[in-house]
Amino acid sequence: MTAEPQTVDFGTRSRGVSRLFRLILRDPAGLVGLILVLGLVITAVFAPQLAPHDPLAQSLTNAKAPPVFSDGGSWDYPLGTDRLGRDVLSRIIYGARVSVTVGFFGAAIAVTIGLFIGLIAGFVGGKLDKALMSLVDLVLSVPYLIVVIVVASVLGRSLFNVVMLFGVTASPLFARTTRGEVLRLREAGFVSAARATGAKLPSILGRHIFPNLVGPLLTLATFEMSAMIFYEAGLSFLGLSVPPNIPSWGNMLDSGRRSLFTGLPWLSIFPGLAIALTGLSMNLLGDWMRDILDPRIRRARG
Amino acid sequence: MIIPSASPSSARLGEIILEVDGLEVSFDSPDGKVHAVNGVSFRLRAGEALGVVGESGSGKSVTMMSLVGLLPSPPARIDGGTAQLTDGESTIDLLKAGRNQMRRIRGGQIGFVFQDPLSALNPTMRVGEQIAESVRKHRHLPDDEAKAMAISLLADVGIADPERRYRSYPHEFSGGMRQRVMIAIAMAGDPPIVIFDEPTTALDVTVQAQIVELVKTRLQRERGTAIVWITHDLAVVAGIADRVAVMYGGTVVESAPIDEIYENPQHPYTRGLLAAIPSADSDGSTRLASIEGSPPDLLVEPDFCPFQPRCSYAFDRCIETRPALIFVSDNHRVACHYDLIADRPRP
Repeated sequence: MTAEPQTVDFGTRSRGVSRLFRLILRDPAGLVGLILVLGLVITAVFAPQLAPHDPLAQSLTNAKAPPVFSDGGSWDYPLGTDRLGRDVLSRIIYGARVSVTVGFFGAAIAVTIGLFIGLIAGFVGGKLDKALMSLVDLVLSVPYLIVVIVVASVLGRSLFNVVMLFGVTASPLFARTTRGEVLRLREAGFVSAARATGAKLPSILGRHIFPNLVGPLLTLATFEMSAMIFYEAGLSFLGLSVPPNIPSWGNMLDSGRRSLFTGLPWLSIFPGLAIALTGLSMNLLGDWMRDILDPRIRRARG
Repeated sequence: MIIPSASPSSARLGEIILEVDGLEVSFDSPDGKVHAVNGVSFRLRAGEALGVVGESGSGKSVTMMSLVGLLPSPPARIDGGTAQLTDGESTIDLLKAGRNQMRRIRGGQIGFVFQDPLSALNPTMRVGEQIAESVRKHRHLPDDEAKAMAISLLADVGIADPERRYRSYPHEFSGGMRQRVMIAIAMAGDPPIVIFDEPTTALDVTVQAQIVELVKTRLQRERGTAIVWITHDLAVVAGIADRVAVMYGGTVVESAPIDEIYENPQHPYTRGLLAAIPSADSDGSTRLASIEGSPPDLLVEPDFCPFQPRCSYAFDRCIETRPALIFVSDNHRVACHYDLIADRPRP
């Protein structure tokens, strides 16, 4: 019996971590994104060890010190100090904690709620599906900024409130994606084929449906994380997020705003750069993940 | 290598292992009840290859899917009939089997190969593991033995370098190779019956021929597996089937050995189908023959001959009652009020 021509080997022999490693090396943009995101997470986790100064320590004798590369700058305060003499670098390092917390936990809550609702809607269908999707549309139709203002004024400004709010308002996106994927996968040939070999429901869910959900959801989560980090910065800028005694990139941007053109531009520029770089790196990482998590595109890339 | 049967079937060659009688399946639709299958009857003998031929909507796939409980219900509903599956001494009615019993039958007693090999494999799972999953389920083997068996199954279906290919993903396989994998999955439980639902329609002609050859030698000849091959292509049927059942409007209108169908067709629809096969001898000046009219409206209660509106032999009785599938000889059944051989209505 002759077989038709075999396709080229795309490296099916290599496995696990080493294959992932080779895949990331092939995509410089993804590599940059991954390194920057890892750097951000490490910065946030080890902020007390990395920060040269206490981010809240005021020192009026050292106030308004310029960054190291300008005239009069010193390595004591590499990115300068603000009007109260607080170290900008240390504040940016601590500010990463707020951004990472909001991005990670906000996305985690959104995925959890969305996955739960989407799975039920997709599997049960019928009236329950209609009811859940109406609920989802309702949440989507409420402008989040108004909700944030109401929550901030009623419950007070706190990181916890922001995270919960982002988690709930972003969950419809994940619910809709999950439901759509479940509806598609339920009818997929390989699910019928698995049923035709006598597979049980848990095995169909665990081995055939769930692995095919991971890719789209993880990719969406990465993009949502970067969006949440942006939103949080925006809310901090408006004074609607964390209380002012916690350094965040958004409130640093806000406090530097007034002196942007009056001699202290570094107060706004460095937090702004941190926000932009974070958004860029998460989007690069998201693009790369979208590609490698789909085995069909993985081949084209490889 | 030939893998020993997991559950040695005591059915001898030629013994009837599946007998479907008067199967009726309908679907609820917004327009009303769709009568998809209206009294299908056929017999399948151990080790034989049965070709099921019919146009789209004739109920071929619905019949087979309903036998293994793969139709979504609702909207599908089984309205009547029996389907006796015989395995050695025991006989069960597939239409009355419970969920757990049906799960064991799927893959263990009746294997299924679908039309579209491109979507029938899970893109996130290695090809070999998808075969091993079915092996583990039906043979209760530990992981390493299931893997070894999956590799030998890959070799059986003609995949070169099976040990390396075990670790491949579906996208690394061509359509023909994927259909081979699907056949390997169907073989994993060593079922006495494998149903092929238009397995070569999505493949090009040379690959089609290879798949037919593979099924005939590896499955039917070496293992004695009974084959049900659903197709709308009479030419493909000639290459694989021992017997043919012709379906029209949700019912079997004629069934006979393949030679008998070609030489002595006794239903006007079968005659029309045979006349419509393009001939290589044609000089191109003659138009292809076709059957006048359009397929039946399945929304109508089927208490008349479904082919009657398109039939040039139709008479009063064809509108009044539905013809039963009767024996015209030992192995030839036909459902028609008109006796084509004698050229007069049946008494």
